[in-house]
Amino acid sequence: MSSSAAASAYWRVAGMTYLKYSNLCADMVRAALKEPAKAKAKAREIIYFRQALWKDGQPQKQVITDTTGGSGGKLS
Amino acid sequence: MLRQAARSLWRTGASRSICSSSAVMQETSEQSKEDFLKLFAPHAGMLSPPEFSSNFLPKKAAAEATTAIPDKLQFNFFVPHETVCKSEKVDLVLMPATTGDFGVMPGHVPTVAQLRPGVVTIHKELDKVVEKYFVSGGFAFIHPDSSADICAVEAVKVADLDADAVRAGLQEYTSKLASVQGKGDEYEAAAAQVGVEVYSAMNAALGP
Repeated sequence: MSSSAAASAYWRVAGMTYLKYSNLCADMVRAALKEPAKAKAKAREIIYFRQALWKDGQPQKQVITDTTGGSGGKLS
Repeated sequence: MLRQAARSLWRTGASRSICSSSAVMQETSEQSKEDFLKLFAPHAGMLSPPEFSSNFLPKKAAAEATTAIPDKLQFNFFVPHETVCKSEKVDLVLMPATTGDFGVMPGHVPTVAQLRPGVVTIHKELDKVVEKYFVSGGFAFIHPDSSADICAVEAVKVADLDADAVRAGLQEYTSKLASVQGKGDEYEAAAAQVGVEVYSAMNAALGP
């Protein structure tokens, strides 16, 4: 896995974690699918979560992360 | 007087070249026990033969010596959203590891392998019933009991890959890599390189 020339894999050296790398690979594979399978696969790519900071027992601010539009194998 | 006793002990010890109190452990076998008893017998007199410590140890399962290799590999293939194979009896699985491609048959040495984007070929019946899946990456575990697991992030049938999309993607990422490389943004360069790696693998999977 690691050679003596590079300290680690190229993606690790560039600051990418394995999680990000493997999800990126999966996104690219999904982007190259034929049509009926592709639509089903797109649904798997969606990341949706909502986070709120709480103060004095009250939620202060809501941040919604929603990738329903899809990143389509794009970078980062 | 004690000094002389100690010296004579040391002399006998030296002549027998005992280096430390922990002598070399030797496995007792039935043969060695019998040999010892034969040597002991003429000196036994009224003594009953000594016990061997191995007589008090739990008997090793005799079956352990004869573990036959099963003739089919028990194969599991999981993806987060789907079970591709579960406890299927197959003959051979070819997997693309980061260290190179290898095939797994029953009796394979236990291995943990990181998979690179590539094709997993499952020979349910050697050369007769063959399935090919393109995996985006993951891990393969081969266990001592001739069972193997592959856990992949995405696994698609090679037939489901769109050849035009693959070719277009490969071109896109190759040119992107060429334009971004050396500009200083390592992350973008790495991401483009990932694209080239994955699309090249898909291109190779689709064949010439």
